[in-house]
Amino acid sequence: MSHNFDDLEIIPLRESDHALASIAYTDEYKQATGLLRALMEKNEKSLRGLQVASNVIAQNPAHYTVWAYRIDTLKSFAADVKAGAADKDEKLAALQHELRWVDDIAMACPKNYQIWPHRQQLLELFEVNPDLLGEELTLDREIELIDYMLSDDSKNHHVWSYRQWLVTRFPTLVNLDSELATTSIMIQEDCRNNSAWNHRFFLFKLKNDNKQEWTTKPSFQEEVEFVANTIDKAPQNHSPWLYIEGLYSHYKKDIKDLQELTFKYACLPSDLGEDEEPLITSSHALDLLAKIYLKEQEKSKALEALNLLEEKYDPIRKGYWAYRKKLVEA
Amino acid sequence: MARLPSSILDYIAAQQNRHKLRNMTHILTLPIRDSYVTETSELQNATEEQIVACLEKSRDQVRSLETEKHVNFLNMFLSPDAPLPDKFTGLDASRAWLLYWSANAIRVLGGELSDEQKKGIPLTLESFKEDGVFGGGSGQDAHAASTYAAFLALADSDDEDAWGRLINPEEVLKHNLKLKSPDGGFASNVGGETDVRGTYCRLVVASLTNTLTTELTDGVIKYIASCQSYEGGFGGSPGNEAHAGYTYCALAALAILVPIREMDQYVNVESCLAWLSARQYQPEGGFSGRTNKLVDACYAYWVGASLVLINGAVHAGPSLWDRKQLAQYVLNCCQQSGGGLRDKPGCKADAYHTNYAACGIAMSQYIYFPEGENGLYWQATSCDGADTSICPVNPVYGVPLGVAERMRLYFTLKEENLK
Repeated sequence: MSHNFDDLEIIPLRESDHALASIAYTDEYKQATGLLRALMEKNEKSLRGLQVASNVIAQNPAHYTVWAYRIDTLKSFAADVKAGAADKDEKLAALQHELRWVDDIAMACPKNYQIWPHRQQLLELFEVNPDLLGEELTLDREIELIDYMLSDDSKNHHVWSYRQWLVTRFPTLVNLDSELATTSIMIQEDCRNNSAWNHRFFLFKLKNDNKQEWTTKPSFQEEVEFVANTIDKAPQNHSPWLYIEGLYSHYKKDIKDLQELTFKYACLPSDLGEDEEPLITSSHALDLLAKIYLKEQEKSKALEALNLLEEKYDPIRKGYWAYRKKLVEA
Repeated sequence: MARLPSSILDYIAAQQNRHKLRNMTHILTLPIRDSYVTETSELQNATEEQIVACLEKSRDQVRSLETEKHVNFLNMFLSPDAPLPDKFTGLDASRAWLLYWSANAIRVLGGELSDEQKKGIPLTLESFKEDGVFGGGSGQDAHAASTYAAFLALADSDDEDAWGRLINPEEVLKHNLKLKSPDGGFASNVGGETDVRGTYCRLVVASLTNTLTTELTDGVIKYIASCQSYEGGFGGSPGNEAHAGYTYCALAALAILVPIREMDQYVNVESCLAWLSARQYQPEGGFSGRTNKLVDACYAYWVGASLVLINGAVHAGPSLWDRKQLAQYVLNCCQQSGGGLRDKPGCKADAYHTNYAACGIAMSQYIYFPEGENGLYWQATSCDGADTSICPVNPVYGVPLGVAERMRLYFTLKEENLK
């Protein structure tokens, strides 16, 4: 549907002719943003305004001002529908179409910042006005979009942040078990996907720290086994090592329990016979071993591990390992 | 008691794969590599190969900085007569950023802004003013990031008259307070995201205008601390994955609020240091922004400056990262032949990467010592053999040393004169 804009006077870009970083916009962009400025100046929130907003966003999705105008417009539609305004049917249809419209923008512009706060406000609007959506608010559509976007870029920071927002904001609507299962699958597919590990940490904490109902509650030991199995596939993968140390630190467990795990991938020459070469397949195991030895007050062994890292296994971080040695000696 | 790894054959295969690389004595390679293939490792290997090829070409030499070419490239964004082509429309809401990145990079690289450019910055920003602060372009809503960029571009312009004309500290404070959320975070704009980038941007402009009131800063440290992830780095908001850009924002924001040497009272500096240090990769020499992600020249600043800040708390000395290898990555692999600096070989240079790669080199060519309590004042001494054509950069404010200090002094004196 096309709207009439004849009554609107386009407001051109108001700036000096000598402005820097100016852009030779296309006529189409000038026209769309000119209309937007005119609508915003009049504070008009209308169906035609929504159309202009769509047009500007299609040409420049990073234009945050138009996103703010768009959500204000939609919120005013919600009020108009409730008040029974003359054009309430069209406005209701626009509201019901909005999530689908955002889906398309999200898929076309995966790195965009603005989509996600927009979507957050929409969900909050539908949460308090379920009649606007025409159906009960569920997160199925959200999770479907997120999964689709992660299938394209499995580490998209915005998408993962939005996923966490959903889990936090709608604890009763989200299926935490299937969330956790998703991270298992993604880690299975690419054990180096650190974003999936981060989300898993976030969920595991929720599961154990909150009193929410979970059908399955993995025990700490089961989780440690999951991590250990993943480490075994690729011992030099930093993600699971960070994860397991993070878990031990968060739950105040003793890292000495991890000594056996580290021994699978690192050992010290002083523990071996004279002709034996230590077989070290993970610098992260060596790092953790140094921490464990330090805790056990075996300072010389801790220093031995750090020396190996400094000289042979991670020399680009020489300065850092030297600092760690200083901490041991102190 | 020899302990065999579970997958010894994989290990041996990996060692053999490394053989070729290890024969190149001038490129440090990690002796350990997993042969288990995933999407991440494939991408990493392909990138590494490309970078090693680039490093190979220059052998052990560090290419010098092609300042003139880079300045010419940056001048393209600061020309009053020639607008950027329409393919830059996607940056229409980031024009304040373009001013800051370009003007700042010119100064950091040791170039000079022309009088036309110095006048052009306030002239352009005048029409970006909104609600006491700045939007990304004319007629756009006020935004924390645009405001931050606009303030720093104005600081870089040295035009004190323009500061007095365009910035009213009371309005800045009022706007910042309006966008503060109950959890101690700040929204980027009305209806926009709340994250630690917003916190950093707002604290910088509050500090420059001397409006860091208790009302503004109340609860902010707690918010910043809540963004630290189990990895040690910081995410954009609580629970998010550790990311070097947000880690920088968190540490720099904290440095504005508390004496750097006392940062350990609020966040875990040891785990943060470990995570930051792990961002430097071998054989690339560059920094990555997240665990298991690729190196990118912009992280020379985000990680480099974060290391400078954290070092103010842990006092680990100047060798926390391999400065030479970082310089080799940025200078040998990321200088575009036509001017400008880029993310990595194969990418195109842009103003963002040029600025942060330049600021990153500045982090590596000098050793910085904090002075005073508020992160504003720093002493810098050049490293041995450093290229001192590049300016030392304030690791909290991201502008050449002296620039932010001058603006803060200006508004402090102005306030005193008003009393």
